[in-house]
Amino acid sequence: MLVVKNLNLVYPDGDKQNIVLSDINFRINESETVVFVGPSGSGKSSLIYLLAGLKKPTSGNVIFNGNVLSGKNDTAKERYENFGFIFQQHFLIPYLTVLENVCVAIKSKDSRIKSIEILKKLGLEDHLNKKPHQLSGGQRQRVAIARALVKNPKILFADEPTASLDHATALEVMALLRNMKHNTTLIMATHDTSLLSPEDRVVTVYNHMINENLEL
Amino acid sequence: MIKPLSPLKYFKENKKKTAVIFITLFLAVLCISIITCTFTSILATATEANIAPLREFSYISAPNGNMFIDETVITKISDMETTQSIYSVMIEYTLLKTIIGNTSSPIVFINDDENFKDVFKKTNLSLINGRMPKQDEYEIIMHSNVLTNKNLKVGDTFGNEVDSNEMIGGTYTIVGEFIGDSIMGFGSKNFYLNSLQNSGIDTDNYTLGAVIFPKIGDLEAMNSNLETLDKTEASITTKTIVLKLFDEQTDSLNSILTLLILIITFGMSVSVGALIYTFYNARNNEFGILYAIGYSKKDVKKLIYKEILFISILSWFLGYFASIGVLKIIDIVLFKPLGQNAVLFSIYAISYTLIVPAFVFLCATIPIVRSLSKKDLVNVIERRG
Repeated sequence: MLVVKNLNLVYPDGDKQNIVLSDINFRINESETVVFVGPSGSGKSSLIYLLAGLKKPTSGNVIFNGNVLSGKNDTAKERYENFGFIFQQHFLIPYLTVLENVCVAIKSKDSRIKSIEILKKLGLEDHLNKKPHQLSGGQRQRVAIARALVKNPKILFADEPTASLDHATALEVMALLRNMKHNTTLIMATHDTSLLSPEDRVVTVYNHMINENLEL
Repeated sequence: MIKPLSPLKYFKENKKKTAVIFITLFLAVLCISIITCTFTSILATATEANIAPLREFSYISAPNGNMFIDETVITKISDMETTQSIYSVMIEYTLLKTIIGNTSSPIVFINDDENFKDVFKKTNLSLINGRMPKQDEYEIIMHSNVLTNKNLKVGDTFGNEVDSNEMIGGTYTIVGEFIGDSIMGFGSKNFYLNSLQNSGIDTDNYTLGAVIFPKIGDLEAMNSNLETLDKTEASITTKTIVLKLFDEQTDSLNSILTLLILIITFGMSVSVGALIYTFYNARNNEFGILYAIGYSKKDVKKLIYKEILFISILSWFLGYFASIGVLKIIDIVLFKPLGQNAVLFSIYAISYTLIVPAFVFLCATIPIVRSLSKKDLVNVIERRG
């Protein structure tokens, strides 16, 4: 489903070069839950952004369902049709209600119905007309999950989705995320190993490389 | 439910920001429309007072340095194919007040009952109150707008012996009031002519001035013929000549008005544009997340265009229509008591006020969109993560 070949990410830093990721190769299959773990600054988040087409690699390819994503200048269409995103911060639009924040992720006519449906599943049916500032941290992140899942994405990217939450809420949000994803592939970056599940495929990112290089 | 990413939703949910932008644009449009319409109204009043009678007839007076028009010139004009009739008259001018100064309106003196009736009939006016002035009496009739302007009525006396600010000498009794397109007055016996006669000048057999009526539909052709007369033969006053004179006088005023409006518009557009820029710069997180979830930069730019266009057009629309309401009040309070009408709809007012939303749209969107094009929206999210 998602294939990564010889991926490199290097940032110029004056006369020097700051290597973020070096020669990354792996494959992710449908419905898998892949968790990138590693210390801060190891390149987990950058890898997630590269896989999602939000960043362009210095070299190498990200291939999604046979299409070279990394070669495109604008991946908005692919992101809209296939991917969902959850970030460390909820990034909810402050002047929109909970329901409207979820509706913006889906452009179809039935966006309202689908949004209400998913918000109900996430236990937010009593908060549909509230603004983000009226919610707790866990509730906001649940809205962000709803926004990511409302269009049934093929892949859900989650970059440190629980980092801004206390541990109990973090566990609760993770449980919800695993419960709600169904057949969606989940690709997550986290530094909190207590959130891992035995079924997860864990990939360690360390010293610009990963510990798992599968044969392609 | 209002669409979440619609301009209406954004401005409804961000009332303080909306109010700042809206009030500034609204007031600019309101002021520009009021200034332009008031200016146009004053010019229209002045133009109508001087031009309207000249839609019916043209006027000649003695050439510079002479008191009378040579009889050969009168004969020459009478013989022109386009001339229907010519009447010996004396024309004086009375002041009309406008809301910011004065203009003038003609009073035509004809001391001959038959000629008076002919001229009045040919000028397409209708007596609505009182009677016609009598031959050899110091009597006048005036257009009802002139009477309103001067706060006079039928039965009152008029002239500089009654009002020292009046330009017309002597004392006349107002015996009638008329309506029609030509804002003017008519009198019979004239004090100035009488004083000339008293000093031994034979004004009965010589012509000081004359009004000339064209054959039906031939005013332009008649004026063309009159304008062929030499300046030493007569001083000619036609609609074309007066309009040209007015245009020359108002050109500089129009230029000042245009410049003033452009300065207001440009200054205000730049400051509102800068304000809008700061508002949009604070929305980077919003644009960043929209970009991440599948909106392209083009989609985000479209959203910005729509919002700024929406607030600009809404402010223009409400500002312009509020100005019509204010102008209606100005009309009732200031113009009507002077026997004048405020211009409520002016193509200049619409054009000048439309510059406001156009300038604001350009001043706001160009820097915002340029900045957005250069900005890495992913970096906005990444740094906040």
